[in-house]
Amino acid sequence: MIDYSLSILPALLSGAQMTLAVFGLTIIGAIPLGLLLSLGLLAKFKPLHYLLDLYVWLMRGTPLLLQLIFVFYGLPVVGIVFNRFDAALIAFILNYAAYFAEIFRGGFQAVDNGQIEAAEVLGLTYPQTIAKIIVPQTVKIVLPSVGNEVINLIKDSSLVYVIGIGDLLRAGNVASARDVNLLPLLLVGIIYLLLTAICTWALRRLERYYRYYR
Amino acid sequence: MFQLENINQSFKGRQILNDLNLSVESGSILAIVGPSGAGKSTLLRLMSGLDQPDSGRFIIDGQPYEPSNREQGARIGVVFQDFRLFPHLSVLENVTLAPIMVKKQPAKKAKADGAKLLQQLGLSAQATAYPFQLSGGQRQRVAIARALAMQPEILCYDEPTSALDPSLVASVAQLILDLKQQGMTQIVVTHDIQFANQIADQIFELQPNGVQQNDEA
Repeated sequence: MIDYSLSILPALLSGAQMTLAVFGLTIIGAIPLGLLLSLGLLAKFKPLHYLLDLYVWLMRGTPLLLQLIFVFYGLPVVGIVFNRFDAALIAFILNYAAYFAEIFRGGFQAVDNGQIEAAEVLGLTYPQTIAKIIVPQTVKIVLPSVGNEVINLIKDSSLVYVIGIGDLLRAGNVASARDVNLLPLLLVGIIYLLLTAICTWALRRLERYYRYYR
Repeated sequence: MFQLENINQSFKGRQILNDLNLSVESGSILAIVGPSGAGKSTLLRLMSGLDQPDSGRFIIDGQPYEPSNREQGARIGVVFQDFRLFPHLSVLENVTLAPIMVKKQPAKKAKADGAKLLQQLGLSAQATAYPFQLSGGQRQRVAIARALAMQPEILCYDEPTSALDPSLVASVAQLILDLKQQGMTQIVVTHDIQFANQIADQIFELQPNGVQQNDEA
């Protein structure tokens, strides 16, 4: 059994590499985009507000699986063609940015208005207030919710199989079907658990760091 | 001298401040007293530029002054009732933030000046602490230090005794009188008449529905 496990491990690890690539690049793209969208959600300019509400509704209101299929198989119909990996990243970033935008919006609104007034009477400009007062306090507020999404993303990344990308789950599936053996899937489960454990640990560290103030 | 001229302010159709006229001599202490709902907080928000009056103007030393124009830092500093310290910044960072960001002071100078202010207010030992670690009285003094660091000409307090332990009221009074010795013009909004009598050179009584009365203390 150990020999068998070792023999399929390289395939699983290369699948895990793809999983991590989708995961990492989605985080790098979706968090800044979500931040930008959340500022738009808070803007007083109504048309922008409605547009972003519609966007968030679409992204959260339909399955990510469907969005993936749409970006990869649907957009070429109107002449927009992406390779598999780019299509996956675009769908994931657009989808996760919507969730992050809602989390950040809630976080910003949770910062006490008195803080903003205190900065105002000291003469800080609004951009300075955002950078020095609102964002640092928001980070602490949103950290647990962001952590949830990050953990979800590790597992959601397995949806890329639908457009034929070889990620961790697909590597396990292939080996399992070929060898008529459930062990590869068990190993896949263990690797996902390890990945989420590392993320959980890192998020806890971050939360603990932000405990320096209350 | 700081003057308010014909200030009018209404809120939801109710006239709160009605042709209010008021003046404070430089270096003196004015207490603004009155029951809840008389417009004390409204007046403070106007003086600190957080709200705009419906009409009327502010004058400092004969020149019109616009409280919401704070490009070089406000000339009127504010100590809020609930202090509103920045919880994620240390005591010293609370004090140096605005001098660095608004007055563009070099961090080194801002820190040195801030440390001096903290020492003057008996907070040197708390410089690296965070607001949640401080007592109410210490928090208030940090709020005062933060306002003073911007070198305002006038310092306003909103209900400085309300969030404090009664035993600390005397020390706040002393602190306000010490600042007067240094030439600071101060405006204290309070419902505590006794406290007002203790510190003020002049007491201004706000009544509900925009009636006012001016007393020399």
